[in-house]
Amino acid sequence: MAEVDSSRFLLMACGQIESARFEGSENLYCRYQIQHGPDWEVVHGLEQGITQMASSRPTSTDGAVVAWNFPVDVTLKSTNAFGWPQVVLTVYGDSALGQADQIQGYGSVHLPVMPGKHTLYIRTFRPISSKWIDHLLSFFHGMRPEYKDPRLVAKGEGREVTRVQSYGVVKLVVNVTLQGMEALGYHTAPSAARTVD
Amino acid sequence: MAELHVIGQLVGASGFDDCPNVFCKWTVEHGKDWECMEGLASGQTQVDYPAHGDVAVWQHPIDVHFTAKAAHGWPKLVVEVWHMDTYGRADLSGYGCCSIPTSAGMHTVHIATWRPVGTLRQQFNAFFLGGYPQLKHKQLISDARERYRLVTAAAGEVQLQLGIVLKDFDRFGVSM
Repeated sequence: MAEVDSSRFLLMACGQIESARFEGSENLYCRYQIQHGPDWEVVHGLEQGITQMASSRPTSTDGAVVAWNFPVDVTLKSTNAFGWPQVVLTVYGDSALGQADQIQGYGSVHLPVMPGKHTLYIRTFRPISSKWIDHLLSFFHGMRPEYKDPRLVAKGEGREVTRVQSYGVVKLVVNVTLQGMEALGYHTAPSAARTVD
Repeated sequence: MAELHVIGQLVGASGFDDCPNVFCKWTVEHGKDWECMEGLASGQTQVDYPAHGDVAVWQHPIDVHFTAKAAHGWPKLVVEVWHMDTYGRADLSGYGCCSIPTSAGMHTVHIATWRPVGTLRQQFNAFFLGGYPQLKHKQLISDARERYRLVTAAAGEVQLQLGIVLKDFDRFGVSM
């Protein structure tokens, strides 16, 4: 296995955007973007991707579920844990009136800092308009308000002014591998787990 | 100097039955041997208006980098949950506080929140007009010394998902 440059560490995340549950929405697709800080760089894999259009299937336990099983495989390198990569998800689908490409939900999550397999459920939300007239118009023509830049959902600033309605959940399965972090003095797993050889 | 990264999310809140349209003002407090190097150590989430149920989603990212000269004064996360009432006024729902976990790895943290109960007259006013009693001194949320005179009622629960990355603590003989 190739040695990494001793001042850097590598984070490999591979997994799938498994499925999603959006009650009342039939045809959905999802776009993912990896959002990271200035010290990070993608060395392998795709920083963003768009899934296929999937239609929902009723299940006995979870209601109507769409299956994407969309592979995500990305490796990043960094010198600093600050700016840890986030997965930003944007789910689009048909509206009740049949318009295509309507926003169904935004969501984001940091990739786990601990090596291993993680199953993440990301609850998503969509913005609601602040003016009642826009609210009324969107009710009639079926177009929903969207963020100009979906990367807003990965930022901590500027959120206090936004109003949202939570809707839907996306299941993400991701395996995280870290290389070269211990050599830099970083600990990302509890000490009990570290001492087991 | 040892370093601590707190990487995660304010996931959301549940159990705020009176009014589930909640948002959260959060801040990370720490001792004087600690310093925030990068990232936001305080902020305010979006307001969620859940269509049904009492689970509000914030998915508010946290990514803070601290340096420490000593283990004491370990950072605490202080939250204030507010709700938007039917007239668009923000009113207090609950206060809460938790220690940032000291062991590296992924942690799910639940904060049980509370709010002050005022006098009978204040409760009467709050019921009809809104405006629950609030703390005058916010340091009470994270301070153990001055709590004993306070009468409170249980509010909902705030959920956090935190990833903890430690650097160089073992070099100073601190076991985590």
